Amino acid sequence: MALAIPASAYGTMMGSLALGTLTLSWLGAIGAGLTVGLKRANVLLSLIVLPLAMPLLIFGAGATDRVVSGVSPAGALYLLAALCVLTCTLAPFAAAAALRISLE
Amino acid sequence: MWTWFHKLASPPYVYRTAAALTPWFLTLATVAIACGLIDGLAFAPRDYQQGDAFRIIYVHVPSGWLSMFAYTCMAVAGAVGLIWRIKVGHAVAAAVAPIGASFTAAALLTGSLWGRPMWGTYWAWDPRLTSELILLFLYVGVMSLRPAFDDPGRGDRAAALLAIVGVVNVPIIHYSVVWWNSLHQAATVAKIGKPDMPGSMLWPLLSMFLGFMLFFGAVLCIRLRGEVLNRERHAAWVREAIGS
Repeated sequence: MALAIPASAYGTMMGSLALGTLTLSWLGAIGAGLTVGLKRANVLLSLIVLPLAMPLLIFGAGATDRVVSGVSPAGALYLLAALCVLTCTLAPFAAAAALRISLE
Repeated sequence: MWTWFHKLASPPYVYRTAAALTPWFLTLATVAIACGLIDGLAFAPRDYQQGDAFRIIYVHVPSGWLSMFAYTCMAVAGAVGLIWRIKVGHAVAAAVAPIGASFTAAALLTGSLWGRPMWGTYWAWDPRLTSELILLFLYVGVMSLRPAFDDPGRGDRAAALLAIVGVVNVPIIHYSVVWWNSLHQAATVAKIGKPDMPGSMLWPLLSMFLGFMLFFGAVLCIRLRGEVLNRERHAAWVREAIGS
């Protein structure tokens, strides 16, 4: 498979991708809500979302990295899950507020 | 108390108060920073491992604290503007952002200059360093989101919302050295119990911290006056205040 990841890490990678995708979507929703209808939306969107996504990428890559080097990935996965729960519960409100500001 | 709160929401009152406070803040900041620098650079004992290089903490640590403090101020001011629709709140948030970004850049810069001789590298993807870098990007994001809207009120509210979302990062920075066993040293001063530092090293640091807080107050007052003037440039009181 891509990146020469051993088969033992597939489960962890899929898990981190599943949790990370959901979290990234919610972060993106906040960013998109804030920049909707702006002229330079693309640049701003990346500037807003990338720093918020950075911890997520670190933990996501860290989980796979840990399992490849033979350490339990549980810690990184728990943190990913915590970020996922945090964004799933709070990001809808933030995104709604952002849309209200942008469109009112 | 409520009348005072209402007064604070009035731009002319804020403009005059900031003007009156500026010299006080500036004088006290100069005294505190001068005391801290002289005591820290000349009289504090050398570190038994790092020699004289540890003295950069007298700039680095207060900058780091202020970077987080300024961000919290910006988010609270933005929230005040967003929730109670107080325009001065947005003016404060707009005035704080570049100051906080400068403190963040100063903390990152002094840290990497110290890291080169001590850790052997300018930069490492350490949790504390990464989260501080994220803070810098958040400041830049807030600063560039505000003028991106044609309607200034809308830009203010969007920037305030982004600042509030980014507050999540502040406790992460503070606890990053506790949660992760990282390269950056653990909390030495702001911890429960006795600081891990002798008083002769600690007092200049606390003096610098006080000085940086006062300096932040002074720069904030100056920037806030400019911000309020610019925002209220069509109001009658501005023409009276600048006497044209």
